[in-house]
Amino acid sequence: MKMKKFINKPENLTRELLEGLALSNPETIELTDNNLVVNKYLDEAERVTVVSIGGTGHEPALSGFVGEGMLDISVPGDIFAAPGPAPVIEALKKADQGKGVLFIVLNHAGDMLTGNLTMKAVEKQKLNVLKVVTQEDISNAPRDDADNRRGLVGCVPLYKIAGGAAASGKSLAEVAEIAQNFADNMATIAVAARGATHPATGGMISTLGEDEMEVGMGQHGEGGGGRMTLATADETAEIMLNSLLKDLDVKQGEKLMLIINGSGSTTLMEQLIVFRKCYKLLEEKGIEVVASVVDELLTVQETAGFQMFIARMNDELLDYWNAPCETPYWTK
Amino acid sequence: MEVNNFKQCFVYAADLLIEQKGYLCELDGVAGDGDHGITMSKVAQALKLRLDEGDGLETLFSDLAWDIFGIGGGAAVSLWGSLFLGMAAGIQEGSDLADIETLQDMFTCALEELRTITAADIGDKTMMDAFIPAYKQIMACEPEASIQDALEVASMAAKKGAQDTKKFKAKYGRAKNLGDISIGSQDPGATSMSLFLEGLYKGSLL
Repeated sequence: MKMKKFINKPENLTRELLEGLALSNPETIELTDNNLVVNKYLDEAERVTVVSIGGTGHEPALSGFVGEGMLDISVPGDIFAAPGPAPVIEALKKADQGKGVLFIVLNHAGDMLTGNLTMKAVEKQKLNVLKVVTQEDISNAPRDDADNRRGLVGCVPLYKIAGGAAASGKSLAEVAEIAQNFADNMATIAVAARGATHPATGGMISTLGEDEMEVGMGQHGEGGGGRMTLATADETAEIMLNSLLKDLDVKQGEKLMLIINGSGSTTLMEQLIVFRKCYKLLEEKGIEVVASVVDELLTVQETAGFQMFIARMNDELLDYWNAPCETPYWTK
Repeated sequence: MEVNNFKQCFVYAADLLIEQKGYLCELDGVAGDGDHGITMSKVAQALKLRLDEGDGLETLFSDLAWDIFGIGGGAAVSLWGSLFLGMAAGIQEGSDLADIETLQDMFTCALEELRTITAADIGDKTMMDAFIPAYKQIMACEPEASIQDALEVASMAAKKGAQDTKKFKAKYGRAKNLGDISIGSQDPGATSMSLFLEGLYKGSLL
């Protein structure tokens, strides 16, 4: 498949997309010269602040969720690549308004190395920072081997929960504990039907047969799961939901968050049909959906497919979830 | 070897990495997302910029490490930044000569620094498959060996180490999720490390 994208010079992709984001949202965010995306009201934040890092090419994640009630600063890397530790250390210092900073890292090799090098500097410079890692992809390792589980779309609801907890006036230790508990109770599985092209190189980042789908795929088209013949929305939803419920050991009577996250070129129509089936299956099992999103939150270019996400909820988490927020791609 | 000649080795290595950008992307396309050449040419450009500034080696490498830490290029950025941070720690500032002992100290400290962020060893299909054999060869050199001799054996060992990665299954990074699919292809990280050492050696011949 030949790449057909409206882009300019590949080396300018990241800067240009961030400028577009900042220029189209002048009332919520600011872009610094070294590509930090900053909550415009950061200086007024008399609370714990929240920072996250990650590659670009996944829009609206993650910089589209910077603003009041979610992230205070995002540190984007280049396309699909983590930033180095230098801008992250700067971002953590800039973010701290006296109450400390929650630092959210997705479990991918580059992000983790940057996160670890950053925390070395945090200790040396005695910054008030606590780190939470998201590692909720159930497809590549069992739950007790979390180090080998990748962080997928779960970071986005976590930004919302952490942002909500921070806005409620909790201390850094409390915000970190709430975020960690939520992160420990989330699970994601992805499916892909068609791969994408890497916008900087034009190369295909995964290939699937015409009538194939792959359940359990990573964020960047990495393989890692089961290939099977393309199934219907209901069949696919059932396969994926059952594996999530089993992994998280969800019981009758529990309350869940349910997110269907489009990966780029799967239509909202398809996402809604999948969500419908999941909701009905959960209803049959006596499990209540108390929070939901059907949308593109974290994409992988023009990948056809979606990520299905569930998380265990309670009343306190629901308060943070429903708290107001004002970011380019999420307003409540 | 005079420091200026030693710096020329790094210029050559940087040029070689930039020249092989397409090849590194191609290797990375097998089990990664095909951008390793892009990141490595950014690292190489940062190296060339610092070499142009004419600072002493210690300052050059520690400033370079933080330049690299500022690049948004994923795992390679943390690893190569740490490599140069370590190299800087192995250099006595102010000396205008680089001898075998300097090289050994640079590589020893570089390995120590890398060890603080990665546990990867030979056989794990990473840059360490090229770096560790090269390090061992440099450490095994006699005190009277020349830098050129040391870099020759190091680059040969790195090249073999990189070629050996074809046999291995990836245990780190994105490629690990592909399981056996990574067997048969040479690791891009080991390859860029091998090219770097080959460049250092070829630069020492000038």
